[in-house]
Parts: sequence; C-alpha cells; structure tokens
Amino acid sequence: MIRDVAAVTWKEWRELTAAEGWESGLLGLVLFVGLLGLFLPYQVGRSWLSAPWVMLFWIWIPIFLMTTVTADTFAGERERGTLGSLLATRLPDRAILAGKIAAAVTYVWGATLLSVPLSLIAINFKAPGPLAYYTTGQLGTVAALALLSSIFGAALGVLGSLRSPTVRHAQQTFSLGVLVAFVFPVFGIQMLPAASKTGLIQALVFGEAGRVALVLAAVFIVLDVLLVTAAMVTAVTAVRSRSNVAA
Amino acid sequence: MTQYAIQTEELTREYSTLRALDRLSLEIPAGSIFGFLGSNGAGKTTTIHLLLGLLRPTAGRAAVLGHDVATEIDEVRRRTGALLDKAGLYARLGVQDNLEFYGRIWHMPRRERRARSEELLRQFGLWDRRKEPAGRLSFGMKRKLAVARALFHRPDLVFLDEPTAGLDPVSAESLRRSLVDLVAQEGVTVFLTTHNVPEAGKVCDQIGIIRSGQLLASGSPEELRASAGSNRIVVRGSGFTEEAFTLLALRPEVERAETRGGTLHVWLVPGSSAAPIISLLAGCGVLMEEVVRETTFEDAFLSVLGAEDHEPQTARVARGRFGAVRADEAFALSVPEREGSELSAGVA
Repeated sequence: MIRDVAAVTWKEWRELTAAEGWESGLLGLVLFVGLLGLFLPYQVGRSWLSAPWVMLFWIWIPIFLMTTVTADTFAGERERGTLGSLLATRLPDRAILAGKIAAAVTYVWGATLLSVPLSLIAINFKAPGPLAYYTTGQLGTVAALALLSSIFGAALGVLGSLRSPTVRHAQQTFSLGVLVAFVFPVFGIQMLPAASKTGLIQALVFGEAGRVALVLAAVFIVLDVLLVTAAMVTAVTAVRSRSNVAA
Repeated sequence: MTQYAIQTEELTREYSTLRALDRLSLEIPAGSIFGFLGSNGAGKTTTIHLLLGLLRPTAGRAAVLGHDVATEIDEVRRRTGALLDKAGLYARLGVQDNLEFYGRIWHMPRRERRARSEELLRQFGLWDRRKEPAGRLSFGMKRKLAVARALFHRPDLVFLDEPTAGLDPVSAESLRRSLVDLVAQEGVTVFLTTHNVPEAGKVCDQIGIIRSGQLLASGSPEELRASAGSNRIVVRGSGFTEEAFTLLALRPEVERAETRGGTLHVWLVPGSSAAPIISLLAGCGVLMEEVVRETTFEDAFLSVLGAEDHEPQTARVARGRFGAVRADEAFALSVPEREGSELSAGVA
C-alpha cells in the first residue's frame, strides 16, 4: 500500500513540477511565498514572530494555495482522459486517493515552510537591531499548524475534485467552500455577545500565541481526522462494492 | 497456466434501455492474438471494460487468466495491461516518465524499469524523444507510447482497444509490426479490438465478429474464410471491355465487378457457380492468363454480416423517443470509469 501511495505521489509531483506548464505553477508559488514570506512580515515587523493572530495566517495561506493544486487531481485526469487508464491498473482506490492527498500536502506544506526563512530576512531588514529569529517552539508550532491546515485543504480539495466533472468546477467549488469557511466565522464573531467578542479579539491580539495555536491545532486535528476518514471510507466502500459485482 | 486466457459465459450488459452486450460466450486460448472485430458501437469497448472490472455485468460471468472478474478483480488487474479507447498518457510528463510511473505502479525495481523503458522505446522508435513531454508527440507516436505502457510490466494478457485507430497507413503498419514482434518475443496473450478488417486478418490468429452486442462468428481467419465459401473470381489477363462489364452486370449471380491493376475481380452471390461467368468472359474476347477463385478475409467478414443482415431483435431492447440509441452514444452518456468506484463518480 505504501509503495502504491508513493507511486501516485511521485506522479503528482512530476506533473506539478513538469517543464510544460511549470511557469504558471511557479508564478503562483512565487506570489504565495512572496506574500507570506516577504510582504506581510515586512509590513508587520518583529511582532510577526509573536502576535497570536499571525497563527491564523499559517492556517489560512496553505488552504488558499491548495485551490490550484487539488482542483486538477481527479477532475483534471477526467478531463484529459487519463483516469480510465489509471483505474484499470492494479492500484487500489485508497492508494490513488491517499497518493493525491499526500502530493498536495507535501507541495503546499513545503512551500509554506519555504516562506519561514524569507520572513526572517524581511523582519530583520525592516527593523534592524538584535537578530530576530524563531525559537524551536515557534518553528514547531508554525510547521504543525501549516501541516494540519495543508492536510485539511488537501483532503477537502481532493474530495471536491473527485466529485467535479471539470477542473473549473472543482476550483469554483473549492473557492466557494473556503470563502464560506472563513467568512462565516467572521460574521459569527459579530453575533457573539459583546463581552465574548471583546475577549476573543483580545486573545487574538494580546493573548499568548502558544495558546491560540493550541486551540487552532485541536480544531484542525478533529477536522483532518474527519475528512481523511471520510476519504478513506469512500474509497473502501468503493472497493467493497466492486468486489460484490455479480457475486 | 490456465488453458484459456479469457472465458466468458452469457456475459450481458445493459444500459437502461439498451443492451450493449448480449450473452457473449467466448473462450480465448492463452498465447493467442484475439481480434474482436465490429463497427463502432458494436460492444467491443464494453467487453474490455467488463473484463477489467470497470463495468459490472448485468448478467453472466467472466474469468480472466483463471480469475473470476467479479471476485478476484485485483488479481486480474495485476496480471493484465490495457490501452483503453483514450490513450491516457500524461501530456506534461516526459515520454520515459509515463513508462516510469507504470513501472512504479507494478513495483518493478529501478534497474528493471530503466532497462525495460529503453527496450520498449527503442522498439517503438521513441528513444530519441524520451525526455520530451508526451503531449508534444504526434498522434501515432502517442499510440505507440500507450501500447508500450500497456506492455511495460510484462503482463500475461494485454487489452488493446483499437490501437491503430486514427493512424496513417505507414504508422499503423509500423505499430502492428512492433506489436506482433513483441507478442512473439514475450508470449503475451492479446485481446485487440478493431473495426479494421484487413488488420484483424493480418495480425490475429483468432477472431470474433460482433455486431449490436452479439457475437456473430468466431474462429481463425482461415476458418472464417472457409466457412464463408469462395465467392470471388480473380481473373488475370486483358480485354476487360465495357461490353464484358455490361454483360456481367446483367447476370443474377454477379454481385459486383471491378478491375484492380490489370486484374478483374468478380464477386458472386454465395453458392453460385463460376463456370457461366468464365464462359461469358471468354465469349466477350477476354484473354484470361489465370483464373483464381478465392475469398479474402474481408469477403468472409462481409459474408458473416450479410448472413445476419437483419438487425438482431435482442440487441436493442427498447427505443427512445428519437429512435434507436447507438450503443456507443449510450456508453458515453452512462459509463463511469470504474463502476462502483467513488473515484470515477461524476464522469457521466
């Protein structure tokens, strides 16, 4: 099973970084890394390293980037007529699904981690003085949050692509889902009682970054487990129904 | 090894109102090249999809390499290769990477993958273009690469759905030659679908003729030729005048007549005697150096179809508002890529 997943992941990576079409992928990556790694930290300065609300960026940005990566996974194969041949191979459905999720996660998570050293350069350039750097704990928190949100985005995007007839449809569905997922809490906060709203905003602005990260991590662990389980159950159900053919 | 590579028993597939495959019973010996011959929408692709477990049969059963398709599909897929109706190449991946991916799928060791891809790419004349994205290849080269990919992991049985469709004659011949050479080298069983009659006659040692989902005849090309009877006279000579053609056209036993490069070909109604025709030609002053009565495989194919000229009633179980639905149209509308698999949801 692991070798099957690795084979699919290898293919996905080769396609993501293939010479043909690499320019558009590279542009997206440069914009992403530039925004998260240089522009925003430069604007925010040294508090980028410690402000609790920055934790939201490490959650949001990987999901945002995931749109371009996952929409193509199944819908693209379907559009280009490669899915039929892939399904005629010995690969189990679960391996195909897991391989595509793994490729999306490693690609987006890797790009996010790439922006970490860049952000340090931007911060130190903007505010000269003692060297600004991430502690091991901060680095671990950033890496863990980015990983959890990458898994969430990848599982959601791949499942969406699975259900979409075209890449465009998959992109629209995923974008809409992301918009709803992030706009809804913003409006939800407005509905909270004034005291709770103030408390939440204070926690995000003046609170302890570690605590905010822990809450976010707990939420995303639950979401990831639910989504990945849903994806695997989908695949397992499919395998069972295939083996029941005309039994 | 099992005696038969493929066995089907009353295999049937219906799409709501249309029966795309009608009680197909086949036995294909291991090591043979089996050609499934029929026009578009005859049920050839449906058969391949059923044998690969990409579709579920409505009734009947099938075994591939001794494994029941319904219960041991993983084993079937492990030992087979396939070129489906769409080549399924990854356009952005390099030529060699397309093969590399399939080698990884079948857990081939790295060294073996390298050696095998070089062997096949050289055989199909693609070695010099191995680094190029597959999307940049010509149509013929893509078909060759797709065939190479189907054979890459040395399957015991390979399904080829119209491998030469859309190719120019030179590319088609080149692909056929490479395919026959490879099959001879590796002893693989081939299940090949085509609507190209001469191709089937040249390449295959067993042939099945299918129409509207029903198997009309099967056997070796020689057996099919023999069963059709010799209904063509080939006359080598000169003096094929307008008068001779006019008189031939008046004879009730003559279906048609034409000249091809200095020879006269006369097709007779099956069962007719050639003697009156030869007398007629002699009377018209035709100088006959050689007269041969023969049947090409194409004649045999047309004879089989002619004998079944009426449309089989069971093939189309119902007609829609706009008349009969062609099998391939219904297929395109309703078939997921691996039926029962969530991965193919949303295809229809």
